Amino acid sequence: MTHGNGTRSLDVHALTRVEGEGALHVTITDGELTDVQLNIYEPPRFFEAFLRGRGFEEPPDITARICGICPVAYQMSACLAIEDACGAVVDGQLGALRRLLYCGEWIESHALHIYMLHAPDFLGYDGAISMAKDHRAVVERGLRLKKIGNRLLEVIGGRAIHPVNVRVGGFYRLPAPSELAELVPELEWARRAALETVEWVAGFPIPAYEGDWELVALADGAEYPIMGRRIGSVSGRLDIPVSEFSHHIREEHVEHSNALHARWDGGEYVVGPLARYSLSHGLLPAVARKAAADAGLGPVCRNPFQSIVVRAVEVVAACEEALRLIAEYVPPPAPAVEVVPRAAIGHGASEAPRGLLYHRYEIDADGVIMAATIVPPTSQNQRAIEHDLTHVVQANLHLDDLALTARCEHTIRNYDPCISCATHFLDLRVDRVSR
Amino acid sequence: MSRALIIGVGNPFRHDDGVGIAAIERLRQRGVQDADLVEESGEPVALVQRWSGWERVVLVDAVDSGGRPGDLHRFECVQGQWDAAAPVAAVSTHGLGVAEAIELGRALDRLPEHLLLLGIEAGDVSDGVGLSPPVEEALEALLEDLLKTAPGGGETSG
Repeated sequence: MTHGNGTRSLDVHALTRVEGEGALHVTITDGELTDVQLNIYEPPRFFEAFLRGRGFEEPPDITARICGICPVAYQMSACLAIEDACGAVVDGQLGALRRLLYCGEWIESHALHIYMLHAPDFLGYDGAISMAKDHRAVVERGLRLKKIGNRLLEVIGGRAIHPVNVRVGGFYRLPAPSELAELVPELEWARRAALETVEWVAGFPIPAYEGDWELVALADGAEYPIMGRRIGSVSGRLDIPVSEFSHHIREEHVEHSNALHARWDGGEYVVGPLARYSLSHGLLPAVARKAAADAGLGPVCRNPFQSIVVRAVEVVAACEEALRLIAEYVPPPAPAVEVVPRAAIGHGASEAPRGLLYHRYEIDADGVIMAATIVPPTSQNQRAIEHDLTHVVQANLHLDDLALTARCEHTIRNYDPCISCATHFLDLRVDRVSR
Repeated sequence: MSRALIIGVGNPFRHDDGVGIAAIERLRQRGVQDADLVEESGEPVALVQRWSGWERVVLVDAVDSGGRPGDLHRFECVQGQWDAAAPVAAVSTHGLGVAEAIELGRALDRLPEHLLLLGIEAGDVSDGVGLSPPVEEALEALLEDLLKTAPGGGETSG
C-alpha cells in the first residue's frame, strides 16, 4: 500500500496455514530500503517439549509429523541421534537401505519444488495451476518423477506420508529384492526425466546474484552427503563432528521474530543444495556430474537462484544412487540391530532436501528422553533469506507491489523453506514514506 | 457402487487440525471393509496424486469458517461442479491445500468423478495432541454420517 506520506512498507503475511506462519515486513523511507524483517518459520519447539519423558524409540514416529514433505529426514536424524546415544551403529545393507529410502524423499521433494513451486517463478506464472494449463506435458513429467519418489517411500517406508516401517536400529520389515527390482524400470525412466529436467531448468532466465555467506553441509568425504558424522564448510573454516554442532552454531532470538536465527561462530551461513553441491560435487555420480557441467555449473555455486539447477542435478544423482543401491541390495540378516538404552547424549544429522537437519537427545538409563533439540534447515537459512530479500527489494524498488511481492516470493522459494508447500504464502502490503 | 477412497487430511499435533487423521484411525478401528483409508498432510500435489484414478473420493478435514467449533460442513463436487458455492479455500484449515488440489486436479483432468468434502469446524489448532470436546463429539456424528451415506459406506464389521 502506498501512503500519501511517502513511507512504503511491505507487509507480507502468510495465508492461514497451520503448518507454519510467515510474514515479511519491509520499510522503505524516502526511496531507500530501511528495514527487512522476516518471520517465516517457527522451529519445532513444541516437539522438543512433547518428546521429554517419552521413550527413546518414539522420536522417529513423532518427529516425522513435523514436516509433511520430509518425514524421512526427521526420522533419519532422530534415529542417528538415538543410536549415537546408545552406541549402536547401523551400517552395511541396513545403512544402504536407509540411503535408498532417503533418495526417494529427495526425488519426491525436489520434483515437487522444481516443477510445482519454483519453475512458475522463473516462467512468469502465478503458480503451478496456471503453468499446468500451458505446459501440461512438463507438469506431467514432474508428477511422474515425484511419484517414483513416493513409490520408494511406500516400498521401503511402508507408506509415503509418515513412513511407518522405520525404527531406531533399522526397519520393522525388510523389502524383498524382488519388490525393489520392480522399481527399476520406472527409476530408469526417472533418471532420463531428471536429465531432461536439468536441461529444462538450466535454460531459465536466472538472475545474477551471489551470496557471500559460508556454505555448510555434511561432508564425510566418502559419498555425496545424505547422512553423515562430519559437518564441513566450503571455506574449510568449519570442519567438525556432528556432536560439536551446538558448540559452533547458535540459535539466537531476534527482536522482530518468534523464530530463532542461526549463526555459526564465523558469521552467516546457509545449508541446502548449494552447500552440498559446492562441498561435494566431486562425489556426485558421473552422470550427475556431467549434467551439472553441461548445465554450466562450476565447482562452487553461490547463486541461490541457481538452486533449482542444483536440485535437478541432485535428482539425477538420487535416481542413479537408487538404481545402484537396488542392484547391490542383499537383504541383511535382521531388519534392525539391537539398540539398548544407556544414560547418554546423542547427536544425529542428515541432509533434508532443504538442508542440514540436526537432532540431539539426552536419554537416561531406562531410555527416557530427558531433553531434545531439533534444528531444522529453514531456521538456519532465515538470516540468509532476509539478507537476499534486502538485496532484491533494494534492486527492485521501482516495481509495483504485485511485482515486488512476486520477486520476494521467488527469493524466499530459492531456499525451499519448510512452508513452501504454500504456493502463495506471501500477501504484501507496501508503505512508502518521505520525511 | 465402486469402492471409495477416504482421505483424512490434517496434523494430529495441532489439536483439532488432526480431526481428519483421527477419523481415519477410527474407521480403521471399526474395520471398514469397503473403502481404502489413507492419511495426507494436505500438500496439494500429494492429494492430486493420491486420488488420481479414483472415481469416488471422500476428504475429511478440519475447517475454519468462523463458525462454532464442531459445526459440520458437507460439500459435494460432482464432475468438477460443486453442489453449492462452496467456499472451500476459505474454510479448510488446509484451505490452500484442498482448494489448490481441486484446481490442479481440474487443470490436469485428475478430478475424481465424485468428491465429497466432510469438514468439522475446528476450535483449537494450537500445538498439542487431542481433539477439543465439541470437535470430538462432532467427529462421532460425522463418522455416523460417513458410514451411512458416503459412497461405498454402510458396511462395517468388527
